[in-house]
This record gives sequence, structure tokens and C-alpha cells, in this order.
Amino acid sequence: MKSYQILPHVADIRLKVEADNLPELFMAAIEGMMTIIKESKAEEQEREKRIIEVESADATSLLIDFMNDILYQSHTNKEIYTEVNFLEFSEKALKAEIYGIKVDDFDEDIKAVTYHEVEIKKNEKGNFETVIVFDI
Amino acid sequence: MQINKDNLIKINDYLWEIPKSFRSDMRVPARVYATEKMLEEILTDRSLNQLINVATLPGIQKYALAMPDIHEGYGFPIGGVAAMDFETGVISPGGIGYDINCGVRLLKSNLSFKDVEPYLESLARELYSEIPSGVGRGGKLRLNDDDFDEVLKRGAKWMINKEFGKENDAYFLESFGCLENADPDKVSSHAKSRGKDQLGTMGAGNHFVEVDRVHKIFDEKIAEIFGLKKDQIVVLIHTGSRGFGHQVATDYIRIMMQAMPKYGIILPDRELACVPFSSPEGKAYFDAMAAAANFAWANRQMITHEVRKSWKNILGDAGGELSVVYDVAHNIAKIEEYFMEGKYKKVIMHRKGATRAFGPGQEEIIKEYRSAGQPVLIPGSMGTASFVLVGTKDSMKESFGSSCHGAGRRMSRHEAKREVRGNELREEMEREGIHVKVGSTPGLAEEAPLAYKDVREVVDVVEGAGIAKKVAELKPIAVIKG
Repeated sequence: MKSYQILPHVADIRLKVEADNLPELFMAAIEGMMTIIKESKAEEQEREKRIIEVESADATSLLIDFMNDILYQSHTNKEIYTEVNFLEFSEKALKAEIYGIKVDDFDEDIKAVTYHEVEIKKNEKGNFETVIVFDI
Repeated sequence: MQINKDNLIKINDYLWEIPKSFRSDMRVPARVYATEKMLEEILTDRSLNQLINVATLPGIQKYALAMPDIHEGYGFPIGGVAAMDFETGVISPGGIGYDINCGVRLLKSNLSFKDVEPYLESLARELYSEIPSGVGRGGKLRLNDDDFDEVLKRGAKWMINKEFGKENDAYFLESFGCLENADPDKVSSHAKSRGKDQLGTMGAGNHFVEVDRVHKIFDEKIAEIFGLKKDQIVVLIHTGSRGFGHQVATDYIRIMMQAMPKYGIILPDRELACVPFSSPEGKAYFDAMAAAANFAWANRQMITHEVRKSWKNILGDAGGELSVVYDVAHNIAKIEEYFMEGKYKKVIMHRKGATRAFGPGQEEIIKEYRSAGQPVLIPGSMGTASFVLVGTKDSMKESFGSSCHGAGRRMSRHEAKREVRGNELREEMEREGIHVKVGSTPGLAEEAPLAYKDVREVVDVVEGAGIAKKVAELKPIAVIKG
């Protein structure tokens, strides 16, 4: 189970993500972020595979660092990533294959994924959740 | 802890203080410039909680300050000003923002409204086609790695040497368009590849190029010093360091997050990530930030070149020259000195959504403007009004030589889009005689004036508080954005 919800913020955009395990939480976050930067995408075109490796101090930082790395890939390759496949995953490090499709432009310019008040926690349903603020 | 009006002490009609006793981790009080009415609105979001968090940072001097255009950000509020002790204080990328040296440049022409009016539609169209805007659109300039590093080292000056400007353009920019400590080796390859094709591009969001008409002069003497008069046509450019600066900030926040435990720094919010200014990480960030600031000055220089080209294409020789009035940074850290506790003290000034506003007599101000003070350029919300202010002696004493930076958001983009339709807004602006050229119509709605505070109220507060003085009001006649 995984879900994301885009929430408003005075100046920026927030994304609430929830999942019953950490890899799924990370996937929901990427899915949400990609929807913000490009809502409609042509699925049928050929996809480019890229490998991402990230190491961080804890699971929360790992999530934000992973998202920022994918955002960087999107901006420089002009790609939207439609699939994430974890090759390795722990609370402090991950290795993933990501699959991207080319786009001409983006709907929204996310400058960065911030660490503002982000903290992965278990909610009352026993799922992992957090809210992420983007600088737009 | 929720803040309400009773927690604030009124210092005067335009200034309020949250005392140090409000929260045990505050090192200094927090002050906000606002009228009582504006304060009530500020209290509806969490910007003052964020300002209190700033007041907890190691080495902060006197008070954490918020300008009247304050709104909730991430880490620091937008509109935040903080001075850190040079020897014992920290530097925090979150206190500068992701868009390093986002700023404003004002160009003046010799023409008046009636000279330009018949050509406005074609001028607006030409500016839109000449200046790349929007998300993901690159510029025309392609530089090799060595030249790109030179841009990072020399900022606007490099562009001017390559004939993308007039010789004296750099003289009229804050810091002459170049921070000398910039070090390209402190910048990641990621930042360089993200910024490589973005010189001379405007970007999206609230960035714009506007053709304005000087609507009103408040101070004839200072307006004359700045070369401004009623009905004159001027051009206002608002943009920053694009993906390059965003990546520099992202990289260093990550580095600092990892380094903080080593320095024993514990913070109420991760986004405030900081390290001692004197540490290797602190110095590296300061030099990388300077490279991003230089990128932004080079970017506004390239856009100036594109504006001049469009101007000449449409108006020909009769258009005359466009010369630089000034260029200010509103997201930056700088080393400055202020008189505190009986002596001048060096500080690391953090301004995030705040403008330097040096008063008359300051050495850093060029001799042509020194008797007046530094020009302070305040872009208003789209289609409303922008202002030219000037710094005062009081800003040096009261607000670390700082003032506001714009209107300040009050409504989310989402809410703005629900309230206003982009095409209706465009029609309304066109009815008012504003020529609108924009890439994204929903993007237009996000920037609707109702999503912002009234810029007039904001500048009236800084003037009332004595930290800046109104010189001229500008009214847009053409708006170009992504």
C-alpha cells in the first residue's frame, strides 16, 4: 500500500506520503514529485534506465537526498521517471534503477526538495508517513 | 508553541518584538516590521515560528529580523534577516535560499511613455521571443568548462568583456556584479551541469521582465541622482541563479546536515542546517555561494543584453541607450560591519527575501549615489506597481542595512488558481493597458495580485519605520514571463 497527496503551502507545495514500508514510501514520494513537475506524460515511448546510489545519515535524510538526486536527473536529462526499482535498500543507503521518458518542458519548476520539518514517522495505522515541502 | 498578538511587544507603529523569554532556546529577540493590521495576517501562518527558530542559531547578533513582506518559507521565513558573529557564528544556506542571488535590475531609457506607446505590443513580443523563459528552456549561450568557470569567478564582468554589455554596466551593480571569493572548485559537477545552458534565461514562477512607466516621483532630488523622472520608460528584470544556484544550495545543505553533529549543533528544524563560518564546510559553502551569486549577476547581464537587442530591433536608433540604474541581490550572505556594543563588529549577514539598503555616506555605495544612499528596487506583484526606494542612516542602525524585497505572498499557488483564471487575469491587465506575454496561462493565475500583499502597504511600513525612503513608483506597461 502506498499513497501521496499534494497539499498547498503559502509559497510552495507540500506533498504528504504514506506507505506500509519504507521502499514504497520512497516510491510514492517520487511519483508525487513527478506528477508535480509534469502532470501528463506519454507512457508509450522508450524509457531510459539510470542508476542512482545514495548514502545518508538516517532514513529521513535518505528520502530527501534521493528525491533531490532524482530531481537533478530530471532537470539535466529533461526526463520524467515513471518507475523506480530498488536494487539495494537500507535505512541509510540505497541503490536504485530509475526509468525515464523524455519531455520537452516541465509544468512546474521545483527548485529543490527541502528538509523543512520532514520526519518519517509511524502513524496510528502503523504506516510510515511524512510531509515534504518543495521550494517552487 | 502558538504565537498570538499578546506575545509581541509593540516598539512603535511599525515594529514589534518577540522577547527572548518567549522560548528557552532563543539567543536573541525576534523583531518584525509591520502595521498592526499586517501583523494580524502574519500571525495566521507560521512565519513567526520560523523567525523564532532563526533566533536560536549560534552566533546571532542583536535580533532576528523580519521585513513586512514576510511569509512562511522553509527553514528561515522569506523576508528574514540575520547577522551572525564573524568569529563564532554560523553560516546557513537556508538563510540565503535555494535561488542564490535572486535579485532585481533596473534599466533606464531616455524615452517617455508617448515615445514608446505605439511600439509597445511589438516590443513585448520581441522581448518574449528574445529572452528564453519557462521551465526547462535553455539559453543561447553555450560555454566550454573553462569559460563557465570564468563566469563563476567574474560574474557580470565576464559577460561585459565578451561584449554582452557596456563597459560601465558593472559599476552600477551591487558588489560590481562580482563576489571576489567565488571558487568554482567548491561547486559540484552536478551544479555546473544543471546551470550550463541557463545563462540568459528568466525561468518561471515570479520571475519576469517588465517594461514600466515612472508613475510618480516621491523625492525629486534623489530621483534626479538616480536619473529617474515622471513618465520615463524603464525596464525591470527579476531573476536569479537558476538551476545552478538551486543545486549549490541543495549540495551544501546535504554536506552541512552530515557535518553538524561534529560541531555539536542541534536545531529545531533540519532546513536550518548550518556550520561555523570558520569551518572548512562553512568556508567552502561561502565560496560556492559566491560562485552562484556571480552566475546570477552574469544571468541578469545576459538578459540585459537580450533586452537591449530587442529594444534596438523595435525602436532602432531612436530608442537610444538603456543604462543600468542599479542591481540588487535579495537572497545572499555577505560580510559586513555594524556598530554594536560600542564598536564596529564584523558579521555574516544573511538576507533571504530581503534587500541590502545602505544609507547615505556608506563607502560601498558608488560616488554618484553616495550622498543619496543605495537604490533599493522593490518589484511588486504582477501588473500592480514596483518601487524604487533608497537606504537610510536608520537602516544602518536598526535593520543591519536591510529592507523589504517585494510584495510578499499571502495565498498559495493552488488557492490563487482556484480564485482566478489566467485568461481572465490577462484580459483584465490588457484592459488596463498592460501588454502581457506569458508562456503558461495557469502560471499567470498563480502570480495574480490577490495572491500577494499590497506592495504599497509593504513599502509604507519600511518608510514609516525609517529603514528606507520612497523615491519613485513604477507602473507596468508590458509584462514578460515564463
